[in-house]
Amino acid sequence: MPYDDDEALLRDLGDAVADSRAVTERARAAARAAFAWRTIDEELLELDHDSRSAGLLVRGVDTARVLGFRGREVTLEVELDRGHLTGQVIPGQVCRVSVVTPAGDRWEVLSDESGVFMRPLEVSGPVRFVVDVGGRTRGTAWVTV
Amino acid sequence: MEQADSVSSLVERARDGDQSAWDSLVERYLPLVCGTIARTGLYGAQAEDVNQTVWLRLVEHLDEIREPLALPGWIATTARRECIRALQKQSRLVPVDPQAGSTQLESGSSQPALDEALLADERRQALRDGLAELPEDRRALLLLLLEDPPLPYREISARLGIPIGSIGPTRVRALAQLRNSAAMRALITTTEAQGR
Repeated sequence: MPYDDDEALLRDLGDAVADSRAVTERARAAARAAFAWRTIDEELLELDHDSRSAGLLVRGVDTARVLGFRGREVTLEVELDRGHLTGQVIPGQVCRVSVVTPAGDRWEVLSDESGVFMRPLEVSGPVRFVVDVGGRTRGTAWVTV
Repeated sequence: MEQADSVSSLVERARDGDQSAWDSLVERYLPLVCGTIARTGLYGAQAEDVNQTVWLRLVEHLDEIREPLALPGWIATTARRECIRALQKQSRLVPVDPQAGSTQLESGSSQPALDEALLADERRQALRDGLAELPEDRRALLLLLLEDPPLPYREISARLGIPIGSIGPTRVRALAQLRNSAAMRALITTTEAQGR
């Protein structure tokens, strides 16, 4: 374990304390407000894949953002490309898909019977997708777009 | 362990819908999130988006937290991942050489470098938690010793109302106590358990 010597310990403690100075009131307010989004009894569609890799920093042509979410019975694929949202709910069926922001903005679109939907969408920041089908609501994990 | 118990009870109360317990978790881990974001060089709206996403994700995952000691690691990992995604969004605005293909790796973002950075994030969190465990007078001394530019001993002596001669010995005792705090011992337990 590190810290056989006091100087190294004190130096790292200095860095640790400095992190507290990176905290802003806006960040605190947003973190506290996130709690209002606690949803109980709503199935979560977990992020399954993301064209923006989280592991390594890859530089390349990244105009379209492709996201896949997976739940127990439903999967959702979406593509966001230059102000346009395209996607599909699988298994295919008519459903309502909403895009929601933490501030409460909401855009809705109805899919066709094969679950395919599309609409213009200009949004930036954290969003989640909500799928309403057959009287059940399922929401995805939050993603930053 | 006291450390884990208090985080467990905060998580449990937050699961039951207690906003004040959630706010306490926020106070405890906000420096971890904001510090991680600041270190990647993100700022402004992008930094705010990452911060917000991390907390929204944590709200979603409250019910799945089984091991409170693993919480700082989960938060640090989520924050780093979101930072990397934000940097990728930024990098698409940078002209790239088409010959270089689409899988060119940025230097400094290798997996070992990422693991090392995560470990450092968790270590800083443990140090903040350990500092919070110390008695007020020892914590105050350490914070004064960390002032930048450094304070002369006579200034520290005056502010704390202690003799200059006791600063050195108190510093040694305070650091020993920090090293042996529940938070620092828990850090050793979790990192060893993960074979790091």
